[in-house]
Amino acid sequence: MTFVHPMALWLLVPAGVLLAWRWLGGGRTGLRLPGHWRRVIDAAMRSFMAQRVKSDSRLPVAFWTSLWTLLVVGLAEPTLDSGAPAAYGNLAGRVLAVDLGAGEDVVEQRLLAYRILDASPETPTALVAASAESFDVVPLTTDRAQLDRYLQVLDAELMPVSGRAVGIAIVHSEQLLERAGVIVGQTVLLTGGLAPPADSAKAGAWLRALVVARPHPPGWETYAEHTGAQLVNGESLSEVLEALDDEVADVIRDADRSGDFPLGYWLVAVATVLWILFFRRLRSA
Amino acid sequence: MIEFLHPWVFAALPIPWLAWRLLPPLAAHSALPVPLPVRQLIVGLSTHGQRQSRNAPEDVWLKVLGWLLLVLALTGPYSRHSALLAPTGRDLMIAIDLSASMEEQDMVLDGRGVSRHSVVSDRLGKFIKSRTGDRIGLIAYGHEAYLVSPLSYDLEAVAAVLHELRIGLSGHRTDLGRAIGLAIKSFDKQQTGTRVLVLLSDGEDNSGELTGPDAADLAAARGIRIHTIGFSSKIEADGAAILRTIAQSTGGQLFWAKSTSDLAATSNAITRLEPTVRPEDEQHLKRDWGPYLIGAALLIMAALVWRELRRA
Repeated sequence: MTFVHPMALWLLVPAGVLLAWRWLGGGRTGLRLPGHWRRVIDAAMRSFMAQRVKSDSRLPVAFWTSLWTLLVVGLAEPTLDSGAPAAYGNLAGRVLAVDLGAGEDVVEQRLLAYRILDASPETPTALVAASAESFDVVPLTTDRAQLDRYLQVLDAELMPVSGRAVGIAIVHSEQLLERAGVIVGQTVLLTGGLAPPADSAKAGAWLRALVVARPHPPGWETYAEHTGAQLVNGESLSEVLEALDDEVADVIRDADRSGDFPLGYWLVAVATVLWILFFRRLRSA
Repeated sequence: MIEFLHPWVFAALPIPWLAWRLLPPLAAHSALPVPLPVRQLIVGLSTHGQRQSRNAPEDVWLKVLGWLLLVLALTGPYSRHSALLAPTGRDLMIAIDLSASMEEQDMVLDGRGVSRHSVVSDRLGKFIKSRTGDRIGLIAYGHEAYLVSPLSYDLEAVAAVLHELRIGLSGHRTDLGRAIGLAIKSFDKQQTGTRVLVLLSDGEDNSGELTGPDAADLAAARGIRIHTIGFSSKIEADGAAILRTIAQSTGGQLFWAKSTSDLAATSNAITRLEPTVRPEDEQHLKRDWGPYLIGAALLIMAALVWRELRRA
């Protein structure tokens, strides 16, 4: 059994506190008689009345606590898992964009790309070559041999136009993710050199990462902030991989629970039946 | 747009009113035919004496609102978001003949005389885009064979690659064996449920050491099904025999398309043989609004508890 929203269980704490307070301190409730009754009622009588009040006050607390607990646990959505979630073809996608206009060592960039591919062989990955313009090289695929084949030949000399446009590379890569209908997508730009000025690639819906060699020239932090991208180097590539994996895990959790048995739903149903008791007429004694 | 998983639950909305109107009122301390804890629970909700104030209008409205929220939560409200691509479990490789004969202008498209290749590019592009749930790959072959697009769910990208192919890219002769061999290699790298090759050719197998039928035997041994499409206005007996042999030995079918409309019909026939995900079966990422409603009901309950405590 797993909880879809386990953090909701923290809401049980106030119910526990209320219960403890009422049960432990409930005996004193009856002693707090209104007005001047305390002075005119005999001490033994006060004790008797306190017992009445206490016993009477315990009952609603049990009701409130039961109802609260049912709703909170229902909100946390306990489910009996039916096994592995369905595999969807468009859950995740990563675009490796190689900035061939940065003047960086392309061999170094290839090695970084291989490391990313090695670490996530099951993630569909596309390859984009970027200079002043960007070009699709390999569509989203898990065919590692095909990705390797094209990575090996990527070179600035092959690009039909020279120059550099980092923002265009990011936007182009995200258009590829959009076109493919990817739900959780990430653009990883293998770049370097001088940081580009702020451009049109403002933070958007997709995950972004700029992989720049360390120590990187000043300005990259500002550009990463402008584009909403993670700024990493070869030593911290795992952060890039984890960012996508975490988002995918969230989506998988929510994507398909059709085969799961939703215990939470039935808890809320019981709570709803209990709620009817609020509307029951009671005859005055 | 909000949809409901269990809309029939709305029928429960009047239950509180019915309970109020129809059930006989309970005496606060009467012996109820229920277990003692339940009876005490109900008695605890008594409105007599000091508890009369529990039926203050604010309390009643809060309780009614709470009831509405809970019933609404039980109806399972959700909204649809991104479409989830449920894979068919099928890898479909399409091998396109780019030999010189595909340049022959014996086809008609939109009232104009065009080459066979232009028709293939147009019709197969549409076919590829319709293959929702399949992983599609593309092989261009002639004398040589190249994997121009690996297996991918990005159908738009594969179709775009198809439109960029040019005659002669892979030599001017036709080597069916090489195309089938490359498809086998590509399939072997990625194990999936069903593997299908659609082999389109307009001519004979006139090049290469491994003949088309021999390569088809290898494919059959690996469980690869090959559908062959002969696309030419002039059907030659030898070419037809080879394509038929390839299809039959792998459990596929041979289709002859003599015109643009025939090729479109062939695409439809292949779709019937190798069905895709139907639009009505498409799944979406759903946002469940139930937790928000339950959260709101909890807030209302917290308000009721607060009012109750103030009265204690």
